[in-house]
Amino acid sequence: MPTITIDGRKLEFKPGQTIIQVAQAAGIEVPHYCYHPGLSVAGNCRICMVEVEKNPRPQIACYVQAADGMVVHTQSALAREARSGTMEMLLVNHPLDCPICDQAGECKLQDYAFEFGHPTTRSPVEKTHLPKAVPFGAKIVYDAERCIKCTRCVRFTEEVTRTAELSMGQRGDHEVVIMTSKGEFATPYAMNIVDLCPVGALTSRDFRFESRVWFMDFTESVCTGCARGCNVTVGARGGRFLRMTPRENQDVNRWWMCDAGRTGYKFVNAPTRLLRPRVRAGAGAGDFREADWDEAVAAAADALRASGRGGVLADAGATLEELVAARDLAAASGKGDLRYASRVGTDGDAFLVVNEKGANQRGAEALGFARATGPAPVAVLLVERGDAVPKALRDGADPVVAFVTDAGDVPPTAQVVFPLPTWAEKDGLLVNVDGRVQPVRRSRAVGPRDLRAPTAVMEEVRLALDPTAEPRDHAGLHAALRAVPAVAALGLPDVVFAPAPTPTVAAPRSRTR
Amino acid sequence: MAATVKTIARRKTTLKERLLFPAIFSGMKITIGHFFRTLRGKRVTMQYPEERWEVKDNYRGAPALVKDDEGRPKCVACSLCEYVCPPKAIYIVPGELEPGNRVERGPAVFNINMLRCIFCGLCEEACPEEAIFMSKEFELWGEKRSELVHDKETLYAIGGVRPDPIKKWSHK
Repeated sequence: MPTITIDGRKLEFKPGQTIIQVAQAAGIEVPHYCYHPGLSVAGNCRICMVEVEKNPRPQIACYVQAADGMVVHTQSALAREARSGTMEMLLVNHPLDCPICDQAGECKLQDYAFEFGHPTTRSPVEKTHLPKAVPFGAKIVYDAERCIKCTRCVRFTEEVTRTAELSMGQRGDHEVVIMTSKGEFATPYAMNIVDLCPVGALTSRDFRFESRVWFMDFTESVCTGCARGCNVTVGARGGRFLRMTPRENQDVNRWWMCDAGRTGYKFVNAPTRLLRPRVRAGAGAGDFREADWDEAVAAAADALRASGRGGVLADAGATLEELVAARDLAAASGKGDLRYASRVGTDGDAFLVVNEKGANQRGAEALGFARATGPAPVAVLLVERGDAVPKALRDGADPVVAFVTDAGDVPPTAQVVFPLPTWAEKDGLLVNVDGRVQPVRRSRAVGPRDLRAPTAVMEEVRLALDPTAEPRDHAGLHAALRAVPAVAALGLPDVVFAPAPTPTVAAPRSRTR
Repeated sequence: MAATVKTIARRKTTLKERLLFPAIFSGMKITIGHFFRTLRGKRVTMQYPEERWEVKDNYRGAPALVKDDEGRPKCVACSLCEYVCPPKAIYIVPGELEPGNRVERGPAVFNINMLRCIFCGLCEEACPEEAIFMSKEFELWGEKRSELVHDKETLYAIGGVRPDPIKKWSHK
């Protein structure tokens, strides 16, 4: 294999790879704005300049292909001087309005200005003034003054979505990104350009001014908007889910995710979330009173014992652990069918979005759950998203024990109702549309503080019903999952989740309100 | 690691110290001295609140938000003061301002909990907009704890107007 020397390290490469690709694969950071592995090479930002020996001028690492015997210096005086000059030019017309810019804190222009920038400007003229806060459709806001014209967004709409809503307009200092189609983006993947933008020129209307990024807590998880299971990073602060950004996974979503998934977290922050368990206050429909967790567990065991009913109706967004715990809880009570409910969309496309909206529908099927076709009585009901389990289905299920996320979705004839944490607040495994098992992880900054994990509650109720049963933690549930041949065939990964938080007395939700 | 113990020998107190009276007399000398000086008209106390002292310019009183000489709020809700505040007394919810304002962003909610504030002045130092200052306000009281959480209106009322010769958002 041919070799190249970068910063004194001899590295092998495949012919056709560019210097920046070889360097990144070896963990050598080469600054870049316009280069993105998912897009074509534009070579216009000029920040990735490196020194190539026997070449009098610095070269751009994103475009120059590695050659056998090539010697590259990424940190030499020449390379640093070239980058410093590039930074000076980029900052000539940049407004430096970091205090009001959403990108501050995760901005490459900030990072490289710290590393290569000049403390003062040498430009005697006033900065150019360009349009600010220009709406690009309903979801994106464009600030032409902050834009460094790297054309990542333009190339995204041309090459990835092939809808070409964006183009460059004007010339020189007055160059701006313009919308070629007036009004809306046709593509449902438009908000990826917000992540692509290396500076704060493109910001999301949804996340605009919500929080500075350094206050936020980030959790690596999986989007549950549809069965694709795009890998995402959940950003949250003070109990509120604030944003979701795609995380690279070449086998699932590459670098992208759809807008519907990205903004489909609203139900997590809903003020109508169910926060405390409810038990029966009287026999009438919807006649509940709030109870503490231990009382509700005892009431659930009593109600299940009295009914002798079995069967589960689960939201297909429930995790494998919840499904297996619900299956065994219902089996401890009586005989019944295992069924799931999920929404079938019409917006599926050939890229990421699929019509199958239940994030764990394949997992439920592997566990022996069948699609619910009509209302039938069950022992255990799980509803995370009200639109996944229609009202007729969940009320008709007449459940003994219901786990519900939103207070509006509580079936009026249930005996005991437990609050169900959303996918952002629990650990678990989901099986995507291709049969790939992926973990969702609990974000410690999302949701009400003192919700108990549904798996733990179901196990407690099961133990109350059957004192001889063995209590199971996450590992025990995984063992139960592996005992199902169809699930074991999917190949459960050995995921280790952080220990569940111990239930605390109600703490103040936030500081100084 | 074993702890090493070092014994420090205490000095024996003298008879004069053990008697206590010499120390009491030397203290009383100062007190009585002030009593006679006050009789001669050189007072060291002040009839607060009728009389007030002059607060020095570098005094660190309650933090407050200021407006510039055109009456525009200077804060852009960048949240750096919230970040730097050691006792976490500051709570900000950023909001979007109407187009036509000099800046597109300002605080929708800006609370400073004066029960938490330690008057360190780091918020003033961190502010990139020169929008928050330590005022000379030292009379902080309330009948309820919630009255001591200063909201945006209170903070602007305390801060008042501070002329701004630069007005950076007009020609950034």
